Amino acid sequence: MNAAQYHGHHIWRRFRRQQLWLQLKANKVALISSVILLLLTVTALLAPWLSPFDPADLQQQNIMDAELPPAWHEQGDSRFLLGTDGLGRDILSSLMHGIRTSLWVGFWAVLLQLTLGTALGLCAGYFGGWMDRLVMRLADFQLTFSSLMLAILVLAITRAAMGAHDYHVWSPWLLILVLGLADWPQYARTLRASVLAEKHKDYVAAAQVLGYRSRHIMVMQILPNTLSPLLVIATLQVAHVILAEAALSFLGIGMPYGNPSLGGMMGSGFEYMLSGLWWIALIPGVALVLLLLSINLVADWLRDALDPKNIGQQQ
Amino acid sequence: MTQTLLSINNLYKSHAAPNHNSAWWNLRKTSYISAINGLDISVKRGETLCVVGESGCGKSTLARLVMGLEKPDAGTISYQGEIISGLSDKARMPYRRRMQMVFQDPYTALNPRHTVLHALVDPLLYHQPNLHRQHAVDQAMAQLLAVGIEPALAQRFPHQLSGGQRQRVNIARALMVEPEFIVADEPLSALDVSIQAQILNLLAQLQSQQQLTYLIFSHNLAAVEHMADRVAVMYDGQVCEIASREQLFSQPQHPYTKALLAASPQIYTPPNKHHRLVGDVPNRIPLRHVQHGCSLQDRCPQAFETCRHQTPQLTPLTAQHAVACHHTQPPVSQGNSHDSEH
Repeated sequence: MNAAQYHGHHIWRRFRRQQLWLQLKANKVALISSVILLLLTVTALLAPWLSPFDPADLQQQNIMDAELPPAWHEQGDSRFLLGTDGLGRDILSSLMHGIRTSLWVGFWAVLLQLTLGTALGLCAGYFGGWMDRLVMRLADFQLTFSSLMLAILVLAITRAAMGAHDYHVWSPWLLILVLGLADWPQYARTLRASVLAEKHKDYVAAAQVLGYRSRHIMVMQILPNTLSPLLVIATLQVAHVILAEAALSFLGIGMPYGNPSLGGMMGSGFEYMLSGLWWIALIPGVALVLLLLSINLVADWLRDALDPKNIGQQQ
Repeated sequence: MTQTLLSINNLYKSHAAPNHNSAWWNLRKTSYISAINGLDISVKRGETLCVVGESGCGKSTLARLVMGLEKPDAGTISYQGEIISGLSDKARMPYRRRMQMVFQDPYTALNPRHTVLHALVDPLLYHQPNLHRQHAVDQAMAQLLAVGIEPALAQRFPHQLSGGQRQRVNIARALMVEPEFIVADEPLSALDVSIQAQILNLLAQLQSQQQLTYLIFSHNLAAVEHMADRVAVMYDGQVCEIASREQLFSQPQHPYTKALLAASPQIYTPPNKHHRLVGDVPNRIPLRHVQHGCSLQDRCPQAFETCRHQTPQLTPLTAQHAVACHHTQPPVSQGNSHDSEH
C-alpha cells in the first residue's frame, strides 16, 4: 500500500458517489428533476455560446421585431423561437442569460451564507458559553428581519447613494452580499445542534488527548459528521435566493436592465400582460418554476439519501 | 528502583447538576455534584494500577482529569514531578505525546468518517508535519500488525469493523505517538467476554514490549485480578483502599472492598453473605447540608459513632497497603477542623 493509493481511495469513499448514484437511479422523481436541473445548469453555463442573440448587444436589437409571439404561433417568426419582448429582444436568449444570472447569484449567495453560518454555528456549538449565547442571540435578532425586507432596504439606500451608473456595475455583487448575509442563522442553528450532539462523543475527546488544536478538531473531525443537514439547507436556500433575486428584480431593485434575469423579465413582461402579450412574462415564469421545482425535489431527495439511518441500512 | 510517574494530590472536582429550570436570565445558584472528593493516588513507572469502583464513583471523571480534558477545582496532578493540571493547551503539548488514552466505547471513539489508516496516520502527521506520508503509512501498518489487525482492514471505516477490532484500532491510535503512559477508561466494558480476554492479553503484551505504564479504570474485578500490579478501590470520589493485587484480593480491609469482592460472582466459592452493604448509594447533590464523616456511613454495617463525625484518612497499614476506615486505625483525635465542630 502506498500513500497515493491511501489518499485517492479516501476521497473516493468520502463522497459515497456510488451509493448516491444507486439511490438516485431508484428514485424516478429525483432522477428526472436532477436531469432537468443539470440541463438548465449546462444551458446557463454555456449561454454566451448557445444563445442565438446577445441580450446585452444593442446592435442585435431591432424595434421592428418587438412583441413577436413564439415561433409556433401563426404570427411568429422562426428566428425567435420563444418570441420577443417589448424592445425586440429574443426571449430565448434572455431566458438563457437570465437562468445564468439566477444560478450565479444563487450559488455565490449560498456559498456566502454557508461559510458564515458554518463558521458561526461551529464556534457556537464547540466553544459554548458566552460565544454560544452571543451567536445565538445574534441569530434570533437576524431572524426577526425578513431577508427580503432587509434586501429592499439596503438595495434602495445604496441605489440612492451610488447613483444609477455605479449601481448598475455593483448591483449583482450587492445582491449577492445582501442575500448572502441575511440568511446565515438557519445554518448556524442547525450546525450548532449537530455539533452539540457530536462534541461529547469519544472521538472528539481522543482528538483533544492527541493535542489537536480546536480549529483542527472543529473542521477536520466534527464538521464532516455534520455536513448532511447543511448540504440540504444549502440546496433549498439556492431556490430561496433565486426566488428572492427574482422578486427584487421584479420590483426593479435587483439586476440592472441590461443584465437579464428571470424576475426582471417577468417584471417587464407584466406591463404587456393585459394587452394579450402573455409570453413575455409567462415564459420566464415557467422557467423559474421549473428551476425551483427541480432544485427543491433534488434537495428533498438529498435529505433522504444523506439520512444517517438510510446510510446505515445501505451498508 | 521504581519511580513515581504520576501523582495526584488532594484532588477535587464537581460538575454542575442539570437544572431544568435554569435559563440564562435565571441567576439562581447552580447545584453541584461532587465527583472527586480529595483524592490521592500515585502511579509508579512500569506498573499497572487498576482503579475499581461502582458506577458513578468518579472513575471516568478522574480519567478525564488526568488527561487534561477537564480542569480540577482544587488539588494537583503531577507527571514526573511537574504539575500538569491547570496547564494551558499549549503548555500541555509536550505531555500529549507521552500520555495517551484508550476510551470506553470503541463505537464512538473512532471518527465514523475516517478510515482506520487515516485515524492512525493523522496524529503522526499532526505532531510531525515534516514526516513523509509514506513513512507515516508504513509506521501505521506496523502498529496495526502489532495490535493484531490485518493490513487488509486498513482501508475500512469503523462501522465495518467488529467491536474487538475497533478497540484494537483505538489502542493502536493511542500508541502511534509512542507514549509511555496509557490511561484506559473501562477498556473492556463494551466488549464481548471472549474479546475481553484477547484485549487484556494484547494490553499485557504491549506493556512488556514497549515498557508502558497503565492506569486502568474498571469495574470488572476478574480482569483487574488478571492484570493489575496494584489495585485502588474508589468510593464517592475518594480512594478507600489501595493495595497490591494479592493483598487486596486475599485480605481486603475496608468494608466497601469486602462488599465489592463479595458481590462479584464466583463459580466455586459460595457468595459471602457477611459482607453486604445496606441501603443505597447516597444522593450526591448536596442541597441543604454537607454530609460529615465517612461517605459510606449509611451503608456500612459496621459504622459507629466516629464514622458519623470524622472523615477517615487514607492511612498505610503496611508499605503496600493503605486503607481509609476507622475500623483499621485509631480515630484521629483532632480530625478536620471542619468536622470537629459537630
